[in-house]
Amino acid sequence: MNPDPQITFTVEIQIEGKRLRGTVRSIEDKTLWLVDSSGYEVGINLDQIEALNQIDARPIEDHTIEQERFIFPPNIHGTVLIINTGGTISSRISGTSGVSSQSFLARMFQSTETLQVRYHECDPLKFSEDLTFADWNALGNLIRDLIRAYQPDGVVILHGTDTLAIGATFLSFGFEQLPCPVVLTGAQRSSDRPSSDTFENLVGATIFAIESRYAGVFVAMHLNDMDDTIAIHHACRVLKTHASRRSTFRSIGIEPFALIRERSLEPQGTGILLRSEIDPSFAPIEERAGLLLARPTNSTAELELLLNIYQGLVIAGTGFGHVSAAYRNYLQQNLTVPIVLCSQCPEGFANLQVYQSGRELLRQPMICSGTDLLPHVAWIKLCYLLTRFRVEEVLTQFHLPLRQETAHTRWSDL
Amino acid sequence: MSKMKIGLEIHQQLEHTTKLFCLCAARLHSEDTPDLLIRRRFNLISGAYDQVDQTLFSQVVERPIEYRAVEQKICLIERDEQPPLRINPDAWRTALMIGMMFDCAIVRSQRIMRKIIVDGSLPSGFQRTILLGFGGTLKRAGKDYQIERIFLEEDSGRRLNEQSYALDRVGIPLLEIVTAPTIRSPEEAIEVAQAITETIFFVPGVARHLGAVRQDLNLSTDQFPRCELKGIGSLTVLRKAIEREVERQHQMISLLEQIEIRGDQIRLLRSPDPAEKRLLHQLLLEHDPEQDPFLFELVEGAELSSSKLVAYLETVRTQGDTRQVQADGSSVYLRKISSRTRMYPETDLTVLDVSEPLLDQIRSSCPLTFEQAIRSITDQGVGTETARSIVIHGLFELYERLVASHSPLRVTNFLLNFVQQQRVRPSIETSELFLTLRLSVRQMQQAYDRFGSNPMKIIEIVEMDQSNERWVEIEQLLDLMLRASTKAPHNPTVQKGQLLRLVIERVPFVDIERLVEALDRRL
Repeated sequence: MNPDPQITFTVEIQIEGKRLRGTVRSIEDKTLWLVDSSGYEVGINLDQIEALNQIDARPIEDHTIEQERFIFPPNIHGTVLIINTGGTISSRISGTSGVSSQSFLARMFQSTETLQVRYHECDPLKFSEDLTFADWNALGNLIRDLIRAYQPDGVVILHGTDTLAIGATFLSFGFEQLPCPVVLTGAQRSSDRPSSDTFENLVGATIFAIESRYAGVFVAMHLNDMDDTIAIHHACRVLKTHASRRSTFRSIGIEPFALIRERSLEPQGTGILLRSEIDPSFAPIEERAGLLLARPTNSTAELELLLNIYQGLVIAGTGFGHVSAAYRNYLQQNLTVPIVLCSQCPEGFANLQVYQSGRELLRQPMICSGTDLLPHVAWIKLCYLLTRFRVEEVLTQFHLPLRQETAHTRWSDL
Repeated sequence: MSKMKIGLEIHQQLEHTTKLFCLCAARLHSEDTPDLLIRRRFNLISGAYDQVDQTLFSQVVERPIEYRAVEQKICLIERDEQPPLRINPDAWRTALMIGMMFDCAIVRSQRIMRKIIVDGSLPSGFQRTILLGFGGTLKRAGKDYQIERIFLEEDSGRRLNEQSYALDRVGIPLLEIVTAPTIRSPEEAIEVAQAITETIFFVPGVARHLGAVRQDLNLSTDQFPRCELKGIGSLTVLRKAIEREVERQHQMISLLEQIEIRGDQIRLLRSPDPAEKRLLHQLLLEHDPEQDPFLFELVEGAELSSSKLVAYLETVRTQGDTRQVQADGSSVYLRKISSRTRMYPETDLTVLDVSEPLLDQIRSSCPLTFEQAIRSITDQGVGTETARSIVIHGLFELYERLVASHSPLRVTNFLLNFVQQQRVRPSIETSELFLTLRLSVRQMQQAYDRFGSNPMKIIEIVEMDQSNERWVEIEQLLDLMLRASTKAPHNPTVQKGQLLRLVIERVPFVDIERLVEALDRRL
């Protein structure tokens, strides 16, 4: 029995002398899946069926979401551009086909009397663990093109949370000039549930994108597990710290840039770029550096391999940025490739001055400390610099704070 | 009473286990002070399906809901901050067992579903629920009742007030047993509810504390559509709820006949009697609370202007209410009955497959039902009331073990007059001992008070008091006392009683039967 996907069949089956009526959803692996009148899905072994009668067959109704829409609060005035790259925020299960469908959001975003919404969806939508440099470069170009076309007050990017911090860092370095805020946001709890954090995150991101005095790239997510407050984080100082809870994103070593408390903007910090009429300018970043998590080992095989593949390397060392003796010995040879030593600890500073082993490494001209940069931020920054500058210049440039990626401004000590 | 059709939904909590999808204990913490507060805002989402059931969202939660908990006693799963763990296997097996005890067809591939709940009682906005079995039967003398469905689901939060819920109850395993609407009277409803509880009485893990069982019911009368009554906590309230609801439905019908609706205006065609006035007031309170009902003089010709109430009245005959039952049996309107349940699959968990070997294993460990237990006692010659008493007080297991070596009569006497009466729970060894030693209830009490946890001591003392040397002393004592008393006039019964007491004072654990015999011989 191969049910025509355009027709819904209602059947009554009998097993063990008992009857059950439902519509046919599918037949898989010798199991008939029915949906009963209350909506429950039940799987019946084909072998058990004593009788089967067709009750009804009708074409599948076209379901349109008229009433279901995301309603922005009424007090937001301006124009927002929403670009959807995918992620949990976009994923839902289709009732009719049982397959995950990501494009329900297109129908949901409606302009209000005071807020004009422009919505663009990337194709294909991707979960963020699948995003690549090519995707982020394309996104950067897209943002630039759409800002030029629509001149919105701000941009909101819907992004999977797994690599959202990397995406934000990428865009932050990729854009040399931005006239307005670009705010990345996502969802920890899927959008098909009424309690999803999607909605407040979106509202918070939109309010900030439109009302902030500053331009630049930011991340908007729940501050804590309550739905009252959305934190706006600096793009290069944010980390996903919990696999599932709403409050997972935290600013590291610094307070969030702003808060949206009860849907009202409360600025907290000062930015480096003010909102303006400037033409957005984005230049692609190439994946020229590698990223390695240092741990106790005698083998330098991994290190050598990465140094052969990439033009630069970020090593997330232990504690102050330390690496094993085997690594130290290897790294004390002549290096032609810039190496940045960060700490694996999310908080605190990499500091190679404290111990002898670190000081020895620092004597190498191609080795520098990542200070308080998060490893993924150091990695993107290094890629960015390697794309723009010659190898000899990269480490000098690395010391310069470019995108508020460090919580400290005095670098020379470290 | 007019014709009515009633279907019951029994919600039975499970206990002595963890919650259904996490490892927290399945227990309330009402005695603890909550130290955690969470505020959650909900949104108009129907789950996965693209349609929106308008009636469903007539009560959409607009203001934030607060949740309270003792932080140490719950985890991130109840708070919807983490995906669920796999289902509690004990609770699942218990549910399968109960499905089989009602002779349901068990669903072999079970999909855990999410049912969207809009009243704010769950922080996630949905309830995880599974359809386990269907088409079962509750057999009663004379009439069988169909058990349409058996569900296993997580319980929702405990309502503290209009805007806040306690999280301790979230996730407690809840069994839902749904009957076909073939019940025809309040008495029958009570019988059926009781029979269902009695069928699962001995299933391990079925909770029996206050609040462990809640009933919902569906009721329709010949002129009125099906209404749902929720949250009935006891059988007394069940009866009252049915009676009051039937009354309400009649009153609504008669009210509708006396009013005329034009646009937003409701015109009274004749003066309402006090009951009808009360009903009108309640309707205004429930559907248009901004109107002050006392502003209207409810007489013939009076006109009320209320678009909300008109909207409700126009659907009364075609679509029933979901109502919350109060302690006195009356009910309050919650929302319209939803024509379609908003459900979609729980994608964080895999399908539960039920194998034949698993069913066989569970089937072979099914306990007796209440009725079967009572019958096994009455089959041994014990009266029904006594048998029922033993089962109800949780003494059936003890009865079965003791009756292996002692007569049913002595065992029932022991259980009801000593164990139940004195509210004690002696060990098996002590119980066996008491029965073997043929002690009276009073003697058992004394022995238990003095040596309850030390059967060896009891044996020692009793053997002493019942030894042959003792008997010789007792016989001598009796003769002495009788000689002394023949000098005074006597009433034989009183004298016997006095003598008994005198002996027992000196020899507390004397064999009473033997003593009585000895006295009878002499008197």
